[in-house]
Amino acid sequence: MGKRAELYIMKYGMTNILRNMPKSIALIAAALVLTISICIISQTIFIQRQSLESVYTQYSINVSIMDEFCIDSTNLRISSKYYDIISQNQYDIMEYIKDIKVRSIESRGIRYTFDLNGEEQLTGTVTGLTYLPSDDEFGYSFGMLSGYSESVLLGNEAVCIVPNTMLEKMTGQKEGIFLRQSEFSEFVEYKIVGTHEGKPDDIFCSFSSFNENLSRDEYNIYSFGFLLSNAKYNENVAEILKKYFIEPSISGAVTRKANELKLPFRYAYVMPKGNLDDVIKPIESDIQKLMIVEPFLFILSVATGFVVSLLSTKNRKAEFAIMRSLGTGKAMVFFEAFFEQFILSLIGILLGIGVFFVIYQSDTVLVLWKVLIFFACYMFGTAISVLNIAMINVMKIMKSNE
Amino acid sequence: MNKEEKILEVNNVIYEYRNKYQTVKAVNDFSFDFKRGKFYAIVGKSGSGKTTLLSMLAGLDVPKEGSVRYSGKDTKNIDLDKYRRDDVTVIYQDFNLFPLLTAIENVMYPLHLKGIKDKEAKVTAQKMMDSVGLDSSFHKRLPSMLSGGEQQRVAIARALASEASVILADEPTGNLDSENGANIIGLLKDLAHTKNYCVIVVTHDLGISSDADQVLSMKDGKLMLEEADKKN
Repeated sequence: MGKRAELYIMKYGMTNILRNMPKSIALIAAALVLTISICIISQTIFIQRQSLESVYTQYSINVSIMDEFCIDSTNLRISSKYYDIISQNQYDIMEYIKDIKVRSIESRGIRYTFDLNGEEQLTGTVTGLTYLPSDDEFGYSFGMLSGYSESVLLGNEAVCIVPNTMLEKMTGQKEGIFLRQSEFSEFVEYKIVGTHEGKPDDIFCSFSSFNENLSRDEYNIYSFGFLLSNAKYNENVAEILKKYFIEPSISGAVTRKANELKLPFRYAYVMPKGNLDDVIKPIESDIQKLMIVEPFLFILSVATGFVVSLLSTKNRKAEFAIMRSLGTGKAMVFFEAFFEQFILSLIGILLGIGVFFVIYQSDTVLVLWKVLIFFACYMFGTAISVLNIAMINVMKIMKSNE
Repeated sequence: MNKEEKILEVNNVIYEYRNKYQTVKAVNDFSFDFKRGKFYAIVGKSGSGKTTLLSMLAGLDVPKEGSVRYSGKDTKNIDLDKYRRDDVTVIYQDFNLFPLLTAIENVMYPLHLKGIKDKEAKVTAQKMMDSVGLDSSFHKRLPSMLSGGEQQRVAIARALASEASVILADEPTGNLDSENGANIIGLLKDLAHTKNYCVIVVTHDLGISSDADQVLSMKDGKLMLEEADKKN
């Protein structure tokens, strides 16, 4: 059969559609109703997911490292290797954690000078920090010099915050001071990025550079905490922390075996989630329910496509038989019946999408994907039904007339 | 074209239906040669195998044993869709017109299947409808707007439009009154004799058998009685 015959079969299908309007409208309506249902469910899932995401991003969790009894979060004296886990971004978690607050143990007797060429060497106390402390923490205020932000303390650059009085004493070049851990080590220049109102010989510098140049031993972290900016990842982060820290529990059981740093489990992590679970559980539950309904709807689409086609072709067996007896091939009979269903479903689906977008004023293109899946499922069901028609036993239908 | 040319040769055809409990030989060792220009009637009681035989002649099925040959070619070895499109056509008791196509569109259907252009198909269909006595006033009527006799004429016009050499008719007068039935039979007979078609009618109606050139009587799938060719 040639192309012209194929075109004629399509024309025949269109004629059937146009001349049997009640049936056509019923089929269009079935596809329309299912499409709107799919759109509503998909849209609801989308909105629920958005609100869940919004809760997660609005809900920050302050994670802090504490002693094994979860009593004290200061004077921990834990290894700087723990900081490396975060600073080296070993688990790709940097994008959702912020405000990393690491403070070192004070290193006393650190030698410093303002000018390597002449000035007398002095001694002071240096503390490493990754953040600008609040006034409460040390009992006096800190400030950054213009042109610098707090984040510079988180980096590896050798920067420091000096007392106001020290800065005032400095003459000439006021950009940096030189610090060294002992008389046996080299002076390292620290750029001054801020000032404080505390003791005249207390110096604060970035934790990384402190750890590298001025710390007297590895166990130099006084306090350690960070902010988890997206609560969605709390489970992920908890899993990572469990590799290094004790997971707090009511029973108080403490694992004593070595952690991933080959160090004993001596510190606990505390991740107060507050009422996060109370907020997200109902939303997650709703999403889960809808997610169960969604595939069911697709299965229903296959069944609906099958049943609708079956019903609409049920009374046309004689018509298909006569098509076959006049020499229309099985493939062409299949094509004709499928084409009619395809056109009617397509009209129903397009109308359904139109109605949905008008009523719900939605701009979610995502639902279109779901509708496409629905269409494929619906047509799959149709194809199974129509295949049955194409395989019709013409002789049997003829014999029924005998 | 030889007027007495064998067009359909049926050789020792056996066709069986099987179900859970038994095997029924619907057609049992049937042999006969059908020729152009003849009007045949196949008669027999219900269940005698007439329609099964007709189905095999129409290329709707093939024999389990034996052969049906069209112009010397075994129907087991040819494209049966093409065979039904070009060489053989069937007229049914229930007319079996496409209910949503007008009379002329029904007649044009086989022409479209052959890939003939719409205009050309329309002209041919008009001619065929004229030849069965349906003027242009019938063209745009749906089958539901036609009487039984008119519907059967449309079915015949459709059969003629396919330009097949063999016209098979399964109880073509079964749903018609005697006057319309006689007209249809007259038309079919005329087609055989004047247009050189091979017309084979399956019927209960003994009146039709009296009009046939040759009557084949079937019982339990077998050809029981083969009347002499009245034309010879």
